[in-house]
Amino acid sequence: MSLSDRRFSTIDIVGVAAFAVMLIALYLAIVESPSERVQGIHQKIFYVHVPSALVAYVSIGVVAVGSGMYLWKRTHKWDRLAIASAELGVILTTLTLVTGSLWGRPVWGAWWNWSDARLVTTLVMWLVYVAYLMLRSLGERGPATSRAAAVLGLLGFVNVPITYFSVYLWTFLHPLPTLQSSTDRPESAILVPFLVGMAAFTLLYVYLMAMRMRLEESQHELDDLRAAREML
Amino acid sequence: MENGFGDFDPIFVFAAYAIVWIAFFVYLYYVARRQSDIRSQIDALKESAQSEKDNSESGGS
Repeated sequence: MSLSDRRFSTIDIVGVAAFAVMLIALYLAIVESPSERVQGIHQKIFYVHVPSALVAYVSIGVVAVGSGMYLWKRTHKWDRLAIASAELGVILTTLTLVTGSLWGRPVWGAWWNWSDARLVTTLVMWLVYVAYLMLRSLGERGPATSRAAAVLGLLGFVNVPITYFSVYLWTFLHPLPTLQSSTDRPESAILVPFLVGMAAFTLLYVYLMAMRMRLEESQHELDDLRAAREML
Repeated sequence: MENGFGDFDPIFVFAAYAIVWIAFFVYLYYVARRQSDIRSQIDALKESAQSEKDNSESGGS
């Protein structure tokens, strides 16, 4: 068995594990977790909204690491890591915004509120990484685009702590991070589905990152082959 | 609280979970599709390079 065959089978195992844990998380969140007294069934959105947001922060952190390492070492593997994670960061931030909106509408009575710092800073984070992906897709594949994207990926990370701590700095609608609840059930009834949800999103992130990195490697191989043909 | 759908309408919860699952499956399909396209382009390039090499070898002999 070649090295690439072994790697594919590892990716497959992670993929199967990710979807199995996603199913368990879905069951625990919908069936087992209690309905909150004030928010009712709508609070169950918490089990996808918060893991999406936290794994989005991780993926943007990985973009910053990949970008910083690329600027330092100038090796393509770091650049590929940053591209792959930026794409997932945008997807996860989109899911955070959409699920947050679907939670806010029945609970706050509004899909969106421009006065809430958490919502606005998350939107800014999303826009920065959409700009990053646009730069990558519109710019020529090469070191100049990679360098510009790396600078953006690194600077964009500054917004992550601002987004995370915005609820402490400018309190408005968005609640503070807490797992305490006003239900009759113990906290573990909320904590377990939340932790399984976190595990599911983390595994899914690892799986999709592996798939996306493999795609970047193939694209790099194709670019090299084309360049070699043009030289002939 | 008046939200137009009833206080505990499950539509928002259903929509949130459905969007998350659909987004992941669509993204996975998109990555797998692009991977398959790129692999077939690589194979085609390798094949044409090999046939060119074979032709030049047979022409030279």
